[in-house]
Amino acid sequence: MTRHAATETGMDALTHKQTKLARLARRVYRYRWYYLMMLPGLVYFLIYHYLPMVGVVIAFKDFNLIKGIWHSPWVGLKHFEEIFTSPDIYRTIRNTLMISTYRIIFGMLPDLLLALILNEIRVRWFKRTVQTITYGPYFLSWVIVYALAFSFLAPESGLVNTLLRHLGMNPIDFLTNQEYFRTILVTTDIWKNTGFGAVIYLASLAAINPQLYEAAVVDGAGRWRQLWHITLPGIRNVFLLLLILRIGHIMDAGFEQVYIFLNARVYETGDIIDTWVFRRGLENLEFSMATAVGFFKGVVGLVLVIGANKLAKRFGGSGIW
Amino acid sequence: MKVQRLAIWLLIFTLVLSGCSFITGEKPSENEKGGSGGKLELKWFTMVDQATTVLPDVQNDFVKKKIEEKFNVKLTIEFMPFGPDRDNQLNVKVASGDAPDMFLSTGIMSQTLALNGVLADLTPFVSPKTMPNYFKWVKEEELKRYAIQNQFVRAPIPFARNVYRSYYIRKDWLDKLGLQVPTNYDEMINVMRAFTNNDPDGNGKKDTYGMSASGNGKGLSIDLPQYLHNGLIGMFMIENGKFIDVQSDPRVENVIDETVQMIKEGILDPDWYLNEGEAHIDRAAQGKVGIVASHTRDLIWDANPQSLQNKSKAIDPKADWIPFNPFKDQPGIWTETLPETAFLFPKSVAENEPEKVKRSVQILDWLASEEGYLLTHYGVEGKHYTRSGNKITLKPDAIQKEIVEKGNFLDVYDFFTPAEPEVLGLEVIDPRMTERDRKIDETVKSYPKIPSIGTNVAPPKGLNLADFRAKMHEYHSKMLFDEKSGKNWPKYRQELMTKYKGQDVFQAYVEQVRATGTKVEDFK
Repeated sequence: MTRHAATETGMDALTHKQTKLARLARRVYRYRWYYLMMLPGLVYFLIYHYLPMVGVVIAFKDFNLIKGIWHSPWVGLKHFEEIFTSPDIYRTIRNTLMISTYRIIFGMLPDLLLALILNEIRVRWFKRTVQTITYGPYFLSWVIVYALAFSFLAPESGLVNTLLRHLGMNPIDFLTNQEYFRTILVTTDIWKNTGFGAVIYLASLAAINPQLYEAAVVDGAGRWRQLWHITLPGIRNVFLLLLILRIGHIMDAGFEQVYIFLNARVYETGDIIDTWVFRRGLENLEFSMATAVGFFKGVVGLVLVIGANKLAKRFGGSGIW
Repeated sequence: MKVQRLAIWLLIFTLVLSGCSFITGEKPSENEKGGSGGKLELKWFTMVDQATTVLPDVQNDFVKKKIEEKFNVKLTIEFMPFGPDRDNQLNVKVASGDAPDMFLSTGIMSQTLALNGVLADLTPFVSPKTMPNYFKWVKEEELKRYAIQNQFVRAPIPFARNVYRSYYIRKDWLDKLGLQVPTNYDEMINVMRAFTNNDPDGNGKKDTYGMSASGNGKGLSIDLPQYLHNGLIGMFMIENGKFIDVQSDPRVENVIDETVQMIKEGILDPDWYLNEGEAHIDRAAQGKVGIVASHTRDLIWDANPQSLQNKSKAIDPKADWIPFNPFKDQPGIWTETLPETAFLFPKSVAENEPEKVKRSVQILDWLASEEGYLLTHYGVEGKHYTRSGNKITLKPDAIQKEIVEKGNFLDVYDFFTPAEPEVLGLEVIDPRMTERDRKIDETVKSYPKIPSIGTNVAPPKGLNLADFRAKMHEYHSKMLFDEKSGKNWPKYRQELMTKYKGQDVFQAYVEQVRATGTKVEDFK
């Protein structure tokens, strides 16, 4: 608001500011009831989302249950030092980034593809059936997905290995193989979440003005032309939005799934920051340590979101804000 | 406009109201105190074995009724099974200043709480004078050892003395193949070969294995007989004055080599590494494997409808499991038990309302008495069991109907004592138990155990074993499956002890054991 004021001088600026303030006050007064109604929402965010952020200070303190947040002693960057001098920490960061990146690359396109395919289906009942079936796995918990994966891939009782044995081949240790681990993570993730991801695109596809298609048909555009010139530009913003949001969560490689699928043979490629924190926290209840990791992850996420947003704007997209 | 204004007034009104009760949040509790007829209000946070346990209606809850009448209290018990969720809940309660008047926690967590200064000094509250019944279960010496850095802020709940550790084998398979119950490691491996190769279930397919275990995706399961074969017993042990962490001992080299051999021969269930929890027992129930190890007392009882014996029989009516101990040459099959769960009182309650702690202590002691024990484990005399002298005969039908089907609520109240009536000189007869069950119980109970290390140990502040154990599991797995040999173990062990701080932590354990008066050499 005061950005303009700062560039001007003396009385000018002051009167300018005053009139601006007055205008603002008038506006607030005119819409006072709306502002009042907005208040509970604002208070909610303030109390439950912004105030708790203060708690991040315990990342720089030795948190003690009795002394609480304020009276625990300051320890500076001790916890961060401990994190980054822990053996194997760089391996977990590398794995986190790689798994997240794979998820973004291989996880977003299937969503889009499924939505585009569904969008082209004209037979109502068929479209609905396919949508329901692909949407179903989203509601399964990872424990169940793992149980399914296990019953397919287990070395002895697994379906795939039973088949391999009957064909006279050697069984493969899928779940304990370092090379397959990330692939299995991403594949099961796609299987579970694609149906849900497509819903968002379908919604934005439905919002595209049908007159555009009609006009394109009049101009002699075929299906592919329509897809290229109308459909894809129509959902570009949603795609970018989801991409930026996902980039913000790059330090979360999906704790629940990884924790359930992880075993000691695949630590080399599968151990992530969150599973490491979980092991530490479970044993020692290290609040400060966990907060320090959370803070680190948050900062990285924030920087990336802002960066990605800038980038999106530079390339002509709209970004998130 | 009118409607709008009305809505706003309503909004303001509710905000003010909720604000009021928020600000004066302290007051109503005092009023309630008067309201409940002078009864002392107690809040406990305990644990249950089963997540499905619930409390019944007040009129069916004969234990709550008894306690509230006898001690003139209003008792509210919150309960959860042990696990990370419960730890979190407890953390939140303690951190937010809403600590229960009495609560249970794991040994490790109680240590953290003690170091945080949250816990009350128990000296004025817990002694043979205030808790005569409790000390029938727990020795004073054990109580002392359980102290944290010489502070008496936690006490163990009475813990089970009996260890029901045993290997179990399919007797019908042995008979079919004309084999004897193995009496040593080599015979055991031979039997496992026969179970794998000679079609013990007679279905004409080679689809059985000698043994299964649950590696939980981590590595060497402690069930593998190779540990005992190399003289490694339990999890921690003291051998010739040396403290030994079983899973990282130098002898693990041999354990790995022998396990690799077993895997190569194909006599170990290939799913063992990824089996989680009790999955190996399921594999046994499916008739896939002939040997398992377990700590579960009624694993193969006829009396337990869910037992391995009964599940196996559903698939193969001839199935017959028996316990066996192939390691008679070893001093024990496992170690004796140590106290694990602690009962604790928050400092704030002990300072401000010591009466609450005193009353809780009285109730706990009553739970450890004969009356409390019988009521919380078996129910009401005459109704759920009959008594003549020291013989308690259960009435399973009444127990099923009035306790198990009412949320199995005795699970909530029996937390304080293990199901070991012999401590109180009682003998409990479950009419469902067969002669076979009783024999199995006797046999398994009789297997020798080596003494425990004498005290609970935990890493000192600033150190942890999480990274150490994770890397250890990784190396175990690498040697088992990739290198297929234990020859690199000395090198890996060296790295674990230095880079992953094993040496520092175990030396601290040695000092904690020393503090109890046991002579132990420095950790090497």
